[in-house]
Amino acid sequence: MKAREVLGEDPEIVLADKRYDSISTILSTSLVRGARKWTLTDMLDKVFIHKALGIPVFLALFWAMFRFAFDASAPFMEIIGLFFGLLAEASAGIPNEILASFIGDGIFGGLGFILTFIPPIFFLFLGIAILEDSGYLARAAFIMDRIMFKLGLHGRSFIPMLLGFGCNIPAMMATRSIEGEKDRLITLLVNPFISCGARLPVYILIAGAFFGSMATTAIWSMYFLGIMIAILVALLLRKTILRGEPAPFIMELPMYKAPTFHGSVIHMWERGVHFLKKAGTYLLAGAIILWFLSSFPWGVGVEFSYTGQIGHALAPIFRPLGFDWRIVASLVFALLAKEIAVEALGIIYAVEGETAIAGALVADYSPVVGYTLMAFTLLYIPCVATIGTMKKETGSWKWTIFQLALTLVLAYVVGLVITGIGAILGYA
Amino acid sequence: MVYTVALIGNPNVGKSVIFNNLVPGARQHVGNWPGKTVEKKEGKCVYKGTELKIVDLPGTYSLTVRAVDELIARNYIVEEKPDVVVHIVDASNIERNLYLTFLLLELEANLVIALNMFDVAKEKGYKIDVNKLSEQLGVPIVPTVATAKEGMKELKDEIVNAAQKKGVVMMKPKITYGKKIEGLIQFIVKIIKKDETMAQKYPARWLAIKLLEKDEDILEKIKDSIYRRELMEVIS
Amino acid sequence: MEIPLAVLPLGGRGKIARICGGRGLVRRLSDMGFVPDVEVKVVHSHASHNPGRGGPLVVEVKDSRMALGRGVAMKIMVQELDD
Repeated sequence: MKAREVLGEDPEIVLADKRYDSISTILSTSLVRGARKWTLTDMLDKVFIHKALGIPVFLALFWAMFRFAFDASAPFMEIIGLFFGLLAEASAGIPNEILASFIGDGIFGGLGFILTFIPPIFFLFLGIAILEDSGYLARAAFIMDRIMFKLGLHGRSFIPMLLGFGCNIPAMMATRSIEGEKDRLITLLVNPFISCGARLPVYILIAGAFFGSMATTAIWSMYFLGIMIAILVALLLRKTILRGEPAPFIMELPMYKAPTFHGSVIHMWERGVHFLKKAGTYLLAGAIILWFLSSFPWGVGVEFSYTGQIGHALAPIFRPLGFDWRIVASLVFALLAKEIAVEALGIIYAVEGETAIAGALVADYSPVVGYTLMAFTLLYIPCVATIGTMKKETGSWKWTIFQLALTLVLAYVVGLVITGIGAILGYA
Repeated sequence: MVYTVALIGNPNVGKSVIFNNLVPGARQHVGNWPGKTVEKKEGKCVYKGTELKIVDLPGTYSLTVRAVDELIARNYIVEEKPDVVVHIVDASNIERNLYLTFLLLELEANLVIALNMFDVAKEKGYKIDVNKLSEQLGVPIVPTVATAKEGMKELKDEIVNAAQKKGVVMMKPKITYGKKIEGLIQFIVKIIKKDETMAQKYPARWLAIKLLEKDEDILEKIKDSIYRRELMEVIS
Repeated sequence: MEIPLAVLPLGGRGKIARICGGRGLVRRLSDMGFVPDVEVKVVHSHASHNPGRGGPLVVEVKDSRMALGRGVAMKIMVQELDD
């Protein structure tokens, strides 16, 4: 007996057919369909997936979501910051100096820092949960599919890219809904190029110090640069090591429904706690390691601490970019979380407050170096927590290390290009 | 007595709401499916003195090997053999949802159907004769509105019921696919039954169907069987 | 006469004849309800003058709305149904 001969066609098709046939027969006696009730959904979709309006509405909604996340979380961040500040102060009273520093700066300082950005992350997750539960997120992927396809990606890749502007970690977690393995991998690999919220304080400091009235433009250029690099690298990966077509776009658009507070909070909570467990571990470990590297050998000051030594050791490599040991050391600090670079520079220059730090920077470096530093901050190795997330999401060290190498090399090359252009244009 | 209960269903049918209704948050545990980056959610709940270990399988449209999620769901049911499989069906989208039900019936899972989003179906003007449907499928069906926690008690009753009945009542397929295909299936089943390891490990009828579909995972699994050639001859 | 689903106009209805694709695509579409003899209706379409290009479209199939990429829609062959 041969299947094809007996059936006359592919058994798989016959089976699918027969299943649906049976289903129809069964339903014909037990289901009576009423009048179509898709009207509300169809009406909403006329706007949400409108050819011209779709994208602006989408961008507006996401912008609103980010605003909501950051505004709603601001008071919480203050409270947490204050609380840990108090704890850190209290621990200054511990008799053993080293222990006091370990607990005050290392643990409370590190923890406090980590915990301050939990509110925005949780609110971001809440926003996403609401958009997802309502059914809107499917539409968003649908609208962006056309553009994503041209970039060699799947429509679903857009949401993670967009989330990256807030924080790369939830963004990378969001790639789980992408089906094609290669599509997902590419999205994960280029996500860190999207300028996350942590890099903004660094841009503000540097741009404010060097570029005066052009500061805002300089900052916007970083976002633009990040997007361009992400697109280019994605295209490159598609053409080389992750060749292929994006998975076919087949997606169900559920009826719109009002998300329940209860349901969305549960989704937010699940993702939030998950993120905390993973990112938190890396951050705490990183904070302790960094504390150790910058506090020891004990009492010698930052320049001669291990961090300072690393800065000095690596400085020659970065000289072409105009970076000295101080900048390199602060970049090492920033591996914990990119916004730490600001504080780090303060510690290294032994000054406090942004104006003072800005002053120190302008005194020592040219605007070209400033801009190079901004670009380098944007592109180089993602923060420890992101690296941890990458390992978790890919389940592979190979790709994680590849990403580290990719980002570092790209940052360096772009840095050189900027320095080169700066030199040609006549800035030292 | 601890019974394992697997939850399965299409995406967007309210499966996680039902999971949360059955297992209070504190008793939930999120881990990883071994070797995969997909999360595994499970938890315990106690109902009328019976302990239920509930495993939330990834949302899936079918049980082919196309995606990691589907393979995980399928392998869990085939290899772990849970006592009960609760298939959560979107009542307002019932026709397509039942496709997965049929696949589960082929897998000879001990099924209970939670006909969820019953309120949405009603709003759409649907009238569903639950008893008739249940009779034709040969599966107990509980209408539910998970977001309003309606039907949860009845669902738990049916789950415990089904768990206790497992293996006692023979799962005879109520649903057949026409003479030609059934003939082929029986032919293949005879060959399968000759291989003792295979026959013990997997439901024969399901295996036959998967072979006809040239399922990659199953083809891999029968690689070492001495009856491989015979089987390949029929299905190639 | 068979035409690709992608060519159906907004509001157009068709009966699926066959799927021109590999095993993987056929399976995926079957899972979602796209099998021969099933009726589909185009609910939203970002059409352009060339049906092979342009954005994805949304069709109604068996009680649900499915968004299909243009490439996929070109591979689903349907018999157009007149109203």
